[in-house]
Amino acid sequence: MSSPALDSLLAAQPNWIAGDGSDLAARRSAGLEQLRLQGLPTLRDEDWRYTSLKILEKQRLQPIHQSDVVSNETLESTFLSDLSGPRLVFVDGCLVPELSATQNLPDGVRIGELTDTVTADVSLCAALGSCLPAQGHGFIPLNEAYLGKGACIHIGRNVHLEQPVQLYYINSGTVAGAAVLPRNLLVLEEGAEAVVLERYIGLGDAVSFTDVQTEVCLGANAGLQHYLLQEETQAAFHIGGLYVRQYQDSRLVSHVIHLGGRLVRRDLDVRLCGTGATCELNGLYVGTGRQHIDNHTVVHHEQPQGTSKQLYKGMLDDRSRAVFHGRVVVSEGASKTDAQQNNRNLLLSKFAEVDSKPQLEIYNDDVKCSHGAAVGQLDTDALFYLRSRAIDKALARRILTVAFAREVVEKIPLPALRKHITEQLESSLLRGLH
Amino acid sequence: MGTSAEEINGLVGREYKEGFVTDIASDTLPPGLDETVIETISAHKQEPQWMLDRRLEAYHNWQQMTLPEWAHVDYKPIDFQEISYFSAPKSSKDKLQSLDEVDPKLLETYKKLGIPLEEQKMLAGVAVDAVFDSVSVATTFKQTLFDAGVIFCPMSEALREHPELVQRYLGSVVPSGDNFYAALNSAVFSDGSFVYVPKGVRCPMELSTYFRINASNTGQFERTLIVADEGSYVSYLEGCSAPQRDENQLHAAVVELVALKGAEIKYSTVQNWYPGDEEGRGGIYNFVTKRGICHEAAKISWTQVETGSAITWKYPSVVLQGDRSVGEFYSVALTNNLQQADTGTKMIHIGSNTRSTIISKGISAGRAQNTYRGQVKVLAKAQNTRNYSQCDSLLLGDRCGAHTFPYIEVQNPTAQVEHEATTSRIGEDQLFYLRQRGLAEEDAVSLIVNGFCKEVFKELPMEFAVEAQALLGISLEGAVG
Amino acid sequence: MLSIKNLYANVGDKPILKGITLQVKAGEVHAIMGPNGSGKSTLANVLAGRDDYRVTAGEITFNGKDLLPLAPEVRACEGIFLAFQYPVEIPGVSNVNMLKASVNAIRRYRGDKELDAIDFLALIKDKARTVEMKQEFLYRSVNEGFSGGEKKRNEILQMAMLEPRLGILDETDSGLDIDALRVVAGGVNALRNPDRAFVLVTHYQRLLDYIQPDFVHVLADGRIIRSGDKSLALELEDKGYGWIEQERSVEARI
Ligand SMILES: Nc1ncnc2c1ncn2[C@@H]1O[C@H](COP(=O)(O)OP(=O)(O)OP(=O)(O)O)[C@@H](O)[C@H]1O
Ligand SMILES: [Mg+2]
Repeated sequence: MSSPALDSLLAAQPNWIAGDGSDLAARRSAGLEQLRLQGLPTLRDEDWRYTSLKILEKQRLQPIHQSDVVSNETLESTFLSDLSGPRLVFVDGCLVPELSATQNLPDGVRIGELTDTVTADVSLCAALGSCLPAQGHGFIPLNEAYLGKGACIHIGRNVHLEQPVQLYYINSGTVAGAAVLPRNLLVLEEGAEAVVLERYIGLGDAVSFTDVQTEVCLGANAGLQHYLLQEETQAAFHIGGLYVRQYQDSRLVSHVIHLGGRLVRRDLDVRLCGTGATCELNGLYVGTGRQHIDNHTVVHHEQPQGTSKQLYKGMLDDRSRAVFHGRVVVSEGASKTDAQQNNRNLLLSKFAEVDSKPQLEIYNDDVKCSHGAAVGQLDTDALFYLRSRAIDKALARRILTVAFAREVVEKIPLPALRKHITEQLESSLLRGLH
Repeated sequence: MGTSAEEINGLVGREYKEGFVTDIASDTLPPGLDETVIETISAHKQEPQWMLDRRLEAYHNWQQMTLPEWAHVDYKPIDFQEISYFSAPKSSKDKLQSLDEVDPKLLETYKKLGIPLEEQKMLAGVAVDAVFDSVSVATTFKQTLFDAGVIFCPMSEALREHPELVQRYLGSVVPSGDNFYAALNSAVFSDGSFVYVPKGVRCPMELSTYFRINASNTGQFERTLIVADEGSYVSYLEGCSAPQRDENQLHAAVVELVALKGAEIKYSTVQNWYPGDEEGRGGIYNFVTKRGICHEAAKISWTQVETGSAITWKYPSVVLQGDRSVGEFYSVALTNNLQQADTGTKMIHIGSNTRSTIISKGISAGRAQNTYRGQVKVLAKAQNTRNYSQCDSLLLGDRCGAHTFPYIEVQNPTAQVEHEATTSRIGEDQLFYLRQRGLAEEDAVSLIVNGFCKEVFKELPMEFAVEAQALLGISLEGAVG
Repeated sequence: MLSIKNLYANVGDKPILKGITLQVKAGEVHAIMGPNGSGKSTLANVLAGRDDYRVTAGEITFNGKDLLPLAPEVRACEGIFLAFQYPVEIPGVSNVNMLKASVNAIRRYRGDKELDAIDFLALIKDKARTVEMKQEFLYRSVNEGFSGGEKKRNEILQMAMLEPRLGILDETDSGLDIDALRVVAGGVNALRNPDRAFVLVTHYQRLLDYIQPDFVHVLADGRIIRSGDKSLALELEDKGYGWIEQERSVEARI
């Protein structure tokens, strides 16, 4: 099958200059080779059986990393006003220093553009790429082929960075087929703690493509709260991954919120490679129009005493479609594992579709694992109850839909974020509810 | 710790009691598969030409197909040219007039298996068709069934006596190109049972088939077809065993169920093929395609207790074609030593107001791998459908695996689909509690395992439920006394 | 105020109400009693406009308006309030939020100004006191994890907030201890005035000791088989429902 998207990305790569840290250039070539070999996934790949890339492959894409078409005021207006703290703002793949804030960081904290930060530190350079799967799907070598842009956050031993670090990826939507392929590297040393928000926003209506891969390395007893807020336009293709390695007693809380995008695929891959590591993965996806939102999670329990808890909830309206594929793998040595997974979906329109594939793979007997998945609609008794209390049907549906989402939203400890998400849910997104 | 892994291994270790070989002369085709073999099988059975044509078509399909690899099982590739595709006890004539003509050695075999074929000794109310290697050797209670209008006979006989029924329904649920093993079966199937229950008839007794592989190096490819005409009811039981041998033997069956408007078919299996020894030598490869189709307001219920086979690959499914039809799947799968099972079901909701229930209990011990794989699909036009699935796994020992792979695909917003799964081991506190109340450890384990499976056992007909419980009991026997 | 004429209704395909005629005037309290499964809740749900309860014949008017074509929320705005026999739990929706939406919907319908958050909170806290409900319950999800008695109290709180013209209480007294029963009765009595009416579905005279009904009706097998004043309830308490049936069959024979 011909793929203008892949062809254009393969063709543009040799002209890609993105800062030349030590061996980044060599990695890019290796990535390109691998991509040529492997190509992009197809429906025949079990992990892509519900997500067709046909409409993406038809697009002609051009990797970009500069833009000055949007005024700073416009950009600032997208910021979450109640949220202060360090910030890196990328517009069309390019860092905008005026809008970024990385001054006055506590000792032991480094936040900067990927290439600069990594080339300055051998150990960070070694960490780069170490969390990615050896045999990932084609978008990983693709990202590698364009390695260089993105953010690097390094938190030193026992440093607690209280303020959330915000990574903004804003697509101006002015360049048709604009492709950004950032890589983020988050390294938390032993006992370090941080809160990181990745936010993806689209401004204009032009087709855009994001292939972002974030690597997270959590040292012993480190703690990370990670947020992914995906608010792109319905012309955006977003393929992204969060690959996490957790060492002993480390803690990860991840919140994934999808409020936009035309075709979205997120991989969340957590390796509990130290004893007693815990992770909690929460997700919320709201589909309208023709959106296709695919969430893949994998938790590898490799060591004893690990716990994982997943809750993904989705609401699908119009002709939208969601895929949830959650895998829990418990290795032979991982005794006393406690893994829970739950996926609940609400179908709000007769053209919407949900495919859910929760999976348990367990090679150890001393475990407590469960998963649940459900697809349904609003509870008619609750609907009637509200209507008998004078609330009209449309509002009653909206109240119940937002209530369905609330379980996930309420797990978010940052009030500013909670508020923003609730507003988004209540206003624009569910406007069309019938 | 209450129970060490070793102790539990001891508890579930057991001997295969059905592993004897019957010394009987057989007509066996030499190993290998080509068109001549298929022609020979067909000729031996005096089949009509259309059947031979279909077999050859299936064979050509099969040649184009590749071995399925998606299952969570691991085994050495099978050389399909090393298998013999037909074996029949020599004494069996083309058609047996009465049981007196059956070789006494065969009767003895079935007696050892606990399945006496002499009618007077049989459990009242169960008609049995016994299939020995590739052919049916005896069908009991023919007259009683005949009086009720029920047809219950070997497939080869049905092809001769009721060709119009067979031609109409055979392959209508599992087309010959459905999958690799179904295609193979469609090309070389030897025998199996045929059931037809006429309109409005409640089959007066349970129907049962007992499959036995005896000859070595043979594959068994039986084919079962059950047609329940409008408003009828039938309950069908299937049991199986094979001798203990070091090499693997292939069993690739196809079962098709057709439940016409308002009909109900209850299909129960107790599968106890030879599972191989503790080192994983030998045992049956059990690759089976089972599927039923429900017309309006019909019901198909699959119940299976799977304890045997080295590898089980089997997904009894229901196509809920008609409005208000019902599909059920109740399963217990026990794997021990190096056994592997990848089993589950598919419920395809096409009609409106259709309902399905899936209850699956997997028990894994030793170094076994036990996988539930299931699909619930609700098509866009299917209004107000319901599905409930519950898949629980119990692990005995720290070297086994239990896996749950459900696929839920919903295209209609009025559907209510719910899936729940748990994996755990026998609670030490439960074991301790029972032992404190005076139960021996193995009895406690057995009690808990039986309790774990209760929801499925209660779906089995009485006699089978007892057999299934005993079978689990045997599996858990060993270490003590 | 409420006029029901020869009402037939099905639940699914099953006929439940088989010709009910009932007039309720402003200021009146009617008690409806009757054996389990006779159709009392069905009647209440039909009045509130539940979808899956299908009216097959007859008519209902409320203050002169034909009630049947109206959506449940419009009926509520018109002043019909149903305290459910089994109030549903709604996780994720707090009591306060739901009631705020309700109160303001009704106010809009009547052309009144909506209450702002402060006035609303003051009002609900005041009402919560009158039904002796702890404030924390206001912020909990609607009925979620409430005990049976707490749910019933919550229904009365909502009624107090919405100030309906016709309050229908479906066994709001069942399973309550005496204190809670007092609260329920207090809630009704506080609202009683010449413009309002109540229909109390109950099995027990006990409630009627607190709320004096003007009329008592016995519903059996989808019909009102006897109506009377409050003495009928006492008689029922004494003799059960059987005697009415017997009398009727005797009457029929004569
Ligand atoms: N959703 C439903 N589906 C089927 N039947 C129903 C349904 N709801 C009610 N019914 C039946 O309708 C009849 C009347 O029920 P209803 O709840 O109105 O009785 P009731 O008089 O309120 O009884 P109780 O005193 O027990 O509350 C009963 O036979 C009941 O089983
Ligand atoms: Mg009632």
